Amino acid sequence: MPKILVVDDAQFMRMKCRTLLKQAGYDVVEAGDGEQAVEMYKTESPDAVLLDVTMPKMDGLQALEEIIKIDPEARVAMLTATGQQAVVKEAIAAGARDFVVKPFDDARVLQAVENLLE
Amino acid sequence: MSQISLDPVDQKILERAVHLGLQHAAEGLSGMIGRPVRLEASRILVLPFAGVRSALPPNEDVMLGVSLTLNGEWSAQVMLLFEPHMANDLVDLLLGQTLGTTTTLDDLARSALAEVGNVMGAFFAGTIADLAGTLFVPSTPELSEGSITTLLENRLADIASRFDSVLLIETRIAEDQGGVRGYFIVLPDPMELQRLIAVLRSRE
Repeated sequence: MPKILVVDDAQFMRMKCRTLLKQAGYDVVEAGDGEQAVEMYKTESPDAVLLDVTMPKMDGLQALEEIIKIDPEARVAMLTATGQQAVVKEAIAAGARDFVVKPFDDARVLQAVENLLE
Repeated sequence: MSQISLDPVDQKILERAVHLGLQHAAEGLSGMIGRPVRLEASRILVLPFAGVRSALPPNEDVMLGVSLTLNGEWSAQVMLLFEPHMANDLVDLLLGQTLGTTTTLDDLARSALAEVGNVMGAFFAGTIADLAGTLFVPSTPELSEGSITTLLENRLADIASRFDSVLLIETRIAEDQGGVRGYFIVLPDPMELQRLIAVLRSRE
């Protein structure tokens, strides 16, 4: 069962993603900020990551860079309300493989996860 | 201290951008609750600080405020205001519950409301950013409760120390089935406002 790391400082968003992904048959682990995300990537070795951009302590773009340092092949999709072109470009340049804008359509998130796992 | 002034041409330029930003913010909320949301009575006002409070709803009861800061080449304070029973209804819509289920706000409910601020603020900021060819980054939203006066004072303190007046961008949020009503307020940093307007003007 593929394991997905969901990273978002909003408990509400983690709950939505967890519910959606578990219903789709995935294992889910969670982190509430970028620092936790990096630690959990090391300890949980998820198959894919859904990573919010705007978070306290360490934002998603910084966490993405740290995760890519750990694993250059990391499969990460950014999950964010900030769909600004500059942010998208920066995330893709840093190694993100997809970008899902909130509020997300459930099918879009599942498609993003499926694409990451291919 | 400095004053804000907008000539009619600048006002129109700003109004066009702001109206589009507010529309997108409403679309963001609509996407979250799965129901159409409309904006009512949107306006942009230059006011002395003493006039800001009187320009907003005459209600000194406790309100729920979701606040965040937009940072970048242009910064602004963004605030959503809801009466508590409206906030409860909004939580029910966000969680897919029957209206009336939420009577007090637990951590999950507060997180859901903060995410509304995140999405609406980001959608508004993203629209202005794309129009201006720049980048605005919303901060992590904060939830607080208090009278409108208290909530505003907390957000306006920095601007108040530097300017005699404030630019108020305000719209009423209304969900079509009448379940949720609130206010979306933007308070730009006046020092950067003229620069933003100049960029918007050059890109029209």
